[in-house]
This record gives sequence, C-alpha cells and structure tokens, in this order.
Amino acid sequence: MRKNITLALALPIAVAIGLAGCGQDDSKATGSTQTDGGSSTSAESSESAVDAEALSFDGAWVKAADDGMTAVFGELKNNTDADINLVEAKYADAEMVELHETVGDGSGGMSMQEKKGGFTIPAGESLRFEPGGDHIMIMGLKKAIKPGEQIKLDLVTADDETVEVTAVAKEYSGAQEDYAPGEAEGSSDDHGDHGKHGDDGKHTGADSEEHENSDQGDHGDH
Amino acid sequence: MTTEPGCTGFSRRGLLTSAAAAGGAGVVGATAGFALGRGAGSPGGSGGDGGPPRRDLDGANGPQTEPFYGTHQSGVETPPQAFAHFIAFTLGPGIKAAEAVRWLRLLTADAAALTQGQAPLADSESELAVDPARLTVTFGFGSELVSLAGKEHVPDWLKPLEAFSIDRLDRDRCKGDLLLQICGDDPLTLAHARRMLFKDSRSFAEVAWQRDGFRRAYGSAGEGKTQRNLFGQLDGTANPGPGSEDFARIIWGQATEAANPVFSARGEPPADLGAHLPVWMRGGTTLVLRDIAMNLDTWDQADRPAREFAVGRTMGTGAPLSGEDEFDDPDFTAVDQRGLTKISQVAHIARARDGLGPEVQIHRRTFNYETGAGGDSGLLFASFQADIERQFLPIQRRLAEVDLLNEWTTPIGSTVWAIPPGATEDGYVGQELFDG
Repeated sequence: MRKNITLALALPIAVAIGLAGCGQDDSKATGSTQTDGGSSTSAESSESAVDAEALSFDGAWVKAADDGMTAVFGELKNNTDADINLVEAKYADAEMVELHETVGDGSGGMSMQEKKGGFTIPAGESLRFEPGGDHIMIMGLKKAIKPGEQIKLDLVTADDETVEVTAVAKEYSGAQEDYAPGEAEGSSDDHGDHGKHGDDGKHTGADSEEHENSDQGDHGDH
Repeated sequence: MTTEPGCTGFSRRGLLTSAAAAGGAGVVGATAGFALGRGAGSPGGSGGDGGPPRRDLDGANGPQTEPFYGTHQSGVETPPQAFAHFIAFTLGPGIKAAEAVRWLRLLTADAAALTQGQAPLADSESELAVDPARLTVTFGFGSELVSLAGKEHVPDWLKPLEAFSIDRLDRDRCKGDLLLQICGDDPLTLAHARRMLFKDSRSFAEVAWQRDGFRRAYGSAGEGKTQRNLFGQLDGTANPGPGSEDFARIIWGQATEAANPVFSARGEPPADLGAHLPVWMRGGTTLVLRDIAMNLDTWDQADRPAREFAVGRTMGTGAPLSGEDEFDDPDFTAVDQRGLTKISQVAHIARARDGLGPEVQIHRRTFNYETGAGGDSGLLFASFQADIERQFLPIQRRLAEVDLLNEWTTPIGSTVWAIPPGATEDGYVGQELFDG
C-alpha cells in the first residue's frame, strides 16, 4: 500500500527544517519531522502531529518520460489551520517546472495555463493534482524518468519554505501535453502563454491517435 | 440439500424471506426489512429455519479482502477464488537487476492496493478497483529473473521439468520469467487488476502466454467444497486443508509450533521439506503449473462405469470406490465379490498415491478453462509443494508411466516457478533476493 508523503512544514510559524519523504514502496522515511515550536503553545509538545504533517502529498506519481515534458500528480493536503500558498515547484533534472491549472474548453478538451500566484490550499483542505486537472508541469527533461523510478521535487510556499517530496514514475498514456505547432517542447521562453494541451483521457480514440502521431511530447510508451 | 432435516413446513419468517428474495424490497415493503435484516449475516445461505436458500442482494462478497503483506504470499493457502488469470512475462532486452527491482516495486505497490480495494496510482478507471472480492496477486519467479540478482541464487530445480512420455508441450506455453497468478471472485475486478499490472509491465517485459481459468462462482456451492473439473470429477479432494499442520509442512516446508499437530491418514510429513529452499525463498514455496488439455469429445464416449474405473472414485460423491464418502481414505486392498480390487491398480488415485509416503503430497489449486464451444478445454493444474523432487516428481513420474486418465488428458504447457515469500509493508516481493 502506498504511504503518505509527509512534509515537515512548520506553520503558521514557518520553520520547516526537514521532511519525511516516502514513496509508495520501500523507501524509508528518512527526514526529520521535528518542527521548532510551530503553533503549539506547549513547550513539551514540540512534535505535535499537526506540526509534523503540516503538508502531506499522498499518492504522488509522475508520468514516466524519456525526455521533453511530463507532469506530477497526487493529493496535496494542508493539515494546518492556516492557508498554505504553493508558489513554485523545482526539479533538478529539468529546465523548468510550472504549476498549471486547466480550464475546460467546452468540448471535452482542457486548456491549461500557468497558475498565476500558485495554488492556495485552504486550511484543512486538499488540492488534487490529476490528469486533466491541475498538475505540476515539468519541462525540458535533462534525463529520462523511468517507470518505477522515484523522483524528488521541492515545493516552495509563499513563505519561502521549501519541502521535498517524492513521486514514483508510472507509465501512463493520458495526460498528453499537446503543444501548439511551432512551439518546441522545453523552450521555456514562452510557456506562460502556450496554447492548448490535450488531455487524452477526454478525447476519442481517433483523437488520441492523432496526438500520438503529432505530439513530440508524448513519451508515455516505452 | 441445504434445508435442515425435518423442517419442511412453512414458517412465517421463511415465507417473508422467500418473498423478499423473489420480489425485492420494494414489493414486499415494510416486511422486507425484517427478512433481509435477518439474512445480512449469512448471505446466500439457507434461512436455517427451513426457508429456501436466499440470494445475496447486498453485494456482501465485493468488499471481502485477502491480505497482501505477510509471511507468505496470498493465493496459495487462500481458499481458491472463482476466477484466475495466469499471465507469464518474458524479460525485455536490457533488463538488469535495477530495472527488475523497479518493476517489482511497481507491481507490488499496485497489487497491494488492488487487493485491498484501492485504486493504484495512475489508475484511469479507479471505480473498477473498489470491489476486490478476495482478489489476490501471487508472484512467481523464473530462473532468468532470479539470475539477475546473481546466478548463484538460482536453485537447481528452477528449470523445466524432465520430459514425460505423455507430454505434448507447446513451447510457447513453457516459458516465462515472471508469473502473475491473479485470482478473485469477480471477473470485472480481475480484468481491471490484470490491465493495471500489465501496464506496469510493458516497459520491462513482454507477455509470454496467458490463460484464464474458473471454478464455481462465489455463492454457488458454498465455501470449502471440492471443485469439479470439466470432466465432472471432484478435483482436489486429497488437498491438505488450509491452516493445517499438513499444509505448513507440505507447502511451506516448515513445521508450525503447534503443540499436538494432527495429520491426515497419509501420515506425518517430514518437517524439513523446505530445507533445500534458498534463504531468499524462506516463507515461499514452489509452483509447478501444468496446462492439461482435456478431451471432452472422447470423454463423452466413456460411460459412467468406465469413468469411475479410470479415476477410482465415483463421479457423484467423489468417494473412493472402496468407500462411501468423498473424504474416506481409499483402501487399495479392498476387493469386490470377484476378488478384484475395488480400485484398479491403474486407476488415477491408485497411481497418484498408493504406496507413496506422507511426504509425497502436493496442494493442487486448479482452475478450469475452455475457449468456447468446440474449442480448447482443460485444467490449469497449479501444484504447490515445498520440494518438487521429493513431492511432485514421484507422482508425476508414476502418472506418466501408467494412469487410465491419460487416455483423455494431455499436458500441453509446463512451467516451474519459485514463489517468493510475502512482502513486508515497506518492501516488495522478491526483496530478499535482490536486496539480500
């Protein structure tokens, strides 16, 4: 069974000094979950459960890809009683990472665009990253992300706190990134206004054929 | 058959139960709640008060789960489910230990989720995962996969069986580096699980062969009944019972700590049948999987006395021809009025066990198959035992030599698998091999 990915993020007094990254298989939780004070008023309970799991990323996975772009999914849960604003994600082996939101185009397709200002996860609530919906977009892969591999990303909050998360790579043929013609994958100059991204799961079989043939970003099949 | 003796009259409760089952809650109205409420605890059973058997209208079996993590893998000692998919993979080019471990981790994580009724990561049809209905996924390793961890880890028995004169093997059904035995009581759940595990595997391996099998559907015959194969025979009567000391010794190859172990009439099996298993297999066992074609057309030509003579058991109750009950111990010396043994020396059960010691026992977990009217039919003969040489081969050699049933059966596929122990909750199946 997959395990939660637990982030140590001391909120609202933001002094996150460690994290526990744990993928769906056997990687041990190695990070410290200690937080220094946090919202606790008791000196004795410096490791209260609330502090230790301020933000958790459950069921994190990334679409395996040889190169180009890919996306990270999972459920980001705010376990605190204050809102958390996720403003950035970082991945060492890619040229660029963006937080994307999607908007339906009225015909089963989804347009996606960078989420200005990032995502705010209300106190006690979750944000679900999923194919066809909001996601963490990785562009310009410098090395392949292979099925079964675990990658580490850093999530950055508006308070400039960084937490490391782990996602396992799975072969997946949906979540296709359908860039407009002429827009090279991984060219990070104009990703802020790139065009429509197809979501194969919402298209007919014929459509997905088309995407596979024309989409250099599709590296789902190995 | 399921009503209690002497309870033939109507009772008010039985009548209500019957009406609820026949008409549905909407028709019966207020009384239905009473009747169905009583039945909730024993879905599918008879009323126990003389009422006719009830149907399970609540989907009681859907949420049922078998454990995934543990000392042993599930799907061996687990009471057989209604359906099984066997799928064997051949390693793709360039797959080494690191890739194999990534593959096994993916399969383990997804099998763990699916068997507990949870959608794996990246499941596009997550709704199909919610009714596990006793889903189990059992991993078997072939020699190529094991050798990725080092050739010294490959046990000498992990290779094709010796050739038998009765074999007519299809080479395409005799290969594979990893086997998944996916079993469950719900075919839709099973199809989805297989699809997910297949998608996990495409980057690492190709499908070598696959075969689907079936037994009685859940609820049709009751738990723990011996299954019938497509010849109509009871199949598996001699199996050691799940949870018994016999099972622990014969299949897992180790004695339990039970104070006063009880053994079958076959006698006490040795406690060390698993001693030859490599360290990475402790808690595991071996699987010989034989695909046995059954010729239903020529079987049709055999009348009941001929069938029973060939098997050594009655077709109806499955009792040995020397006894009355299915589980009576066969008496191979009992004679009829003519002075002939009641069980022929060349009958199937005589060949399979007469004169063989208590260590020569196996656990057969069989599933029937057929590919349509007039198509292929047969039996997926999954035989689990701690020691192939001491337990399986003595039986197989004798059956190959002489067995009246050979007239109608033909082995067309044969594979041998190492069944690793169960995974720990933070680990993966095969971890003792690759990380050990």
